[in-house]
Amino acid sequence: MAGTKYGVFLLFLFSLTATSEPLYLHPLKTKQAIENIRFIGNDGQYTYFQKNSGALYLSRGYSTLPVFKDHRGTQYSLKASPSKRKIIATKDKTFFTNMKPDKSLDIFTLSYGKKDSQYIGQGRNPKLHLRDEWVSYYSPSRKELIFTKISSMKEWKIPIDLELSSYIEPDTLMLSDQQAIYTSLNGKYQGQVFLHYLQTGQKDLIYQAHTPGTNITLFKNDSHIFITDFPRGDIDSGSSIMSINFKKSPTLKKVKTLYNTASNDLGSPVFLNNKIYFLNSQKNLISVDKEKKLQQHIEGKMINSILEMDQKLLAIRAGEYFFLMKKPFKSVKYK
Amino acid sequence: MKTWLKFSQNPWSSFLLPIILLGNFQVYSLVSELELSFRKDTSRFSTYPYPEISDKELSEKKNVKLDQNFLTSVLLRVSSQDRKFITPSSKCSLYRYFLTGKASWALGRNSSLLISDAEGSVFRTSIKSFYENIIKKQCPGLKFIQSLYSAKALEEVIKDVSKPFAQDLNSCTKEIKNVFQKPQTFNLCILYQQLRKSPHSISKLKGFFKKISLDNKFLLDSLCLNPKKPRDFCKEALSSSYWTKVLRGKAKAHVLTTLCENSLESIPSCVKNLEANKSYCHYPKNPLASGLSPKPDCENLSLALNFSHLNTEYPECPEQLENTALINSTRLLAHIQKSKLPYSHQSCLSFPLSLFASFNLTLGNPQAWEYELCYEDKIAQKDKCFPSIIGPLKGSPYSQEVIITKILKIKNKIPQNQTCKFIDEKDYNPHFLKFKSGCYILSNISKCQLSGCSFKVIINGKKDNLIKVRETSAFKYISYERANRNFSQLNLIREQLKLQEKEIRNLSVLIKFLEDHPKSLIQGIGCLENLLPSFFRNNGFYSCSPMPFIIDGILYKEDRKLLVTRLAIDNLHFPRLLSWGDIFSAIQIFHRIHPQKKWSLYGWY
Repeated sequence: MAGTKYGVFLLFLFSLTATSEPLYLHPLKTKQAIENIRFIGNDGQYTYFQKNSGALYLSRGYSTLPVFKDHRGTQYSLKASPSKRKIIATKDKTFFTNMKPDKSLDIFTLSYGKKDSQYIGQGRNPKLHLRDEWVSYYSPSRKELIFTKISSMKEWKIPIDLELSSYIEPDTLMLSDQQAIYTSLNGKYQGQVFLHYLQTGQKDLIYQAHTPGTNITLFKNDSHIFITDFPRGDIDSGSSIMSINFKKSPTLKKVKTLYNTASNDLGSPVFLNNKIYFLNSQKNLISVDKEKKLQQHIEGKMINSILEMDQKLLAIRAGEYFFLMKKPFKSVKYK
Repeated sequence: MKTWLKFSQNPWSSFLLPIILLGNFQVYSLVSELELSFRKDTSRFSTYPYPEISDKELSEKKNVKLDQNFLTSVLLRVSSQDRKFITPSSKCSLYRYFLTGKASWALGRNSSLLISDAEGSVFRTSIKSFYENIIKKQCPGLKFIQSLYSAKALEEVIKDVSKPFAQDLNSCTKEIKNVFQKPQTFNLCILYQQLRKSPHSISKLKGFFKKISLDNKFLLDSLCLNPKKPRDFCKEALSSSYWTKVLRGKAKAHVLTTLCENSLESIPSCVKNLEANKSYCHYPKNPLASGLSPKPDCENLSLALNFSHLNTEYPECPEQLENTALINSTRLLAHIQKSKLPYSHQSCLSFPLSLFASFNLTLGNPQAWEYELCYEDKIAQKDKCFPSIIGPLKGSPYSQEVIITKILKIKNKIPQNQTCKFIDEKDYNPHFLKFKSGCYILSNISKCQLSGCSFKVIINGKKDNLIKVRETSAFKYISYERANRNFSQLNLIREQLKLQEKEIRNLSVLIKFLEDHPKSLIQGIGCLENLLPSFFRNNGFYSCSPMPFIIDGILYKEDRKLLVTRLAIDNLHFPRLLSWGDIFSAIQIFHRIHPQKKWSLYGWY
């Protein structure tokens, strides 16, 4: 009951403080079948696409270059960081034959906009860090988080005790060559965020969720780290977004709350242009920045989830991908 | 407490108290009239100074009945639980009470009853003699104690009281009244109460109660341990909570094996927890609740289970089975073939695997299940292999126990009349005499997975390395190539089990399908990131983790249509409520990236 009152109060506050900055859904128009595309560069000059044969290609200008060739049914997934030096790629050779959600995938890095690749290892949820000089990924079979310096392929491994819950993958960040941040779970299923010193192995708890079963995601810009904490499923935890200025607080002890509500938002957070975008409990698209400025961008459009591709915001609605833009979409009628 | 003390000091209390305790008993007048005379001569019941009447005399006497003073002394001590089953105005109901042996304390060492004739003379007789000469004639429906307590008679009662009750309150109340008044119900409850108090008291019937299904145990709990008025009983039985329905025998109780500890004692208290604390279901403490967590809260879970009809009466642990395509195949097979097995952790891997292996190997599709146990055939100079499942399973020809025994016999490692026994590694102690001889397969079965399960064979105390394992590889759940497209597991199941399918592209078709085929299933594959966006992030453009699932119901909650869905990574007993929007997005993206653009949501009927 108290939670409801709190939620109503916050909704009231939200209606007072939130401003509206509409974003519009733009269907993607591409020369080739859109479902074959795995990555489009922000300027549209580079496109990585795959074929049913199991091969991945790079389309650049008027040329098409092969990146990988594998057997039929192989699926690829690609993602870049804001540094745009590299792209991280996963290759799933048993996409149609082994539907194990925590199976390890082959992880590679590609030079941004190029076809040359480097094998990193086998695992899940890979992420680029520190000007794309580092990669982290999780090995479910070994229950280890692995941080790899790409130039030397030197690895630092952090054992993760996720015995309590399979299928949950840790999220990671890096502040420097020495400091990594990752998420984990304690024995009561509460999400935790740790600062880990790679050289010494020392770790400090910097955040712990109040309720078991929430989904913690980490983001970073030049001065702040951001922690989003949204409920999984029908967990009644409320939602919150925090920031820590790691320049001013190197031990990461000063946590500032940017957004806190008793309502159980869907989450699906994306960090872009120094804002955290997320879907609230009504599936409206909301953003919050480090000054706690809340903005509502889309209302009631039945968005399933949002994602980022090379610094562009995308939404999935009814199984279709849309770019989210400030200008309204105008369909062009050809005569 | 103060009120009680005041009351107990009242000189009338010893007289009034038994009457008050008897509640709505309709023997007030009888009790009050006889109480004074009873109090004057209480000692006579312990000494029995009355002559014993012979069988012949008893059979010849007319208007014989239980001595009223004696009867009063018994009635005053009837427990509140037993009171529900006695109708004081009915002498047969009273006789039945004596026949159960519940009033044995009043009968003395010789199991004697006090009876009086028309002249008011009091006699002593044995309960057996009274039954043969009086009860049999006056109440032919009543049987003597041995036959009333026979397992057959009790089974009949269980069957009788397990029948579904009427759905409207008045009819249900009427039916339940009848159930309460049945002598068999009373007898059963007495045994059940005694068994609960002291499990070793009725050794012969312990086995019988062990055999009673969980559903019936709940029914017995509510009938015998917490008896309520029939109307209250029905009110609860007809309420919307799945848990209450289980307690009233209106819904299947096996679901609780993964929520509560599977014991007679803890289930009612567990159900109390489920009703009181909806977050109890997110992380059940029971180790059998394998699968994706957090699970739905108890309120949503209860709703989903109320609208679900998938066969889930068998053991399954999704995290050990690993491959979600295999999990969904076995769920479809178990539902269509109506497979059932009581839950045990030892068979939660082997039972689903046996369903899958038997189906494919019988069909002549060994590519789908390639797990084999082998030995080196030195004459043929190659390995000789036999298909097997992982772990032991009673009655399965593919049980690891059966196959290992078979190989060891072929290689003359054990005599023809010996069999190998699967035991948990931690239970094996080479120093124990019983392990010095015989054949044992040691494994930590609770840690076994589809991708790996190490075991050791010990023959007469020594490790044997003869048997090799050939692991299973991936199989085609859904076709993705033109060649061999008819050999996908989904096609094989549908064709071999002679099912028809209906493509489902929108919510209207889905609703119509569930209306037309209420006992059928809808099976699909979609991207996990879109099915459960609050659990799994979208990591890239058309990034997808394929996830098979089954929909078996639809419900309306706060103007939203929600589908009762079991993802293959979910525990079998924990369906989720998903929106059509999320399911459609997941199906559509999988459809787009499928090489032949195959649609993947079908109703099977």
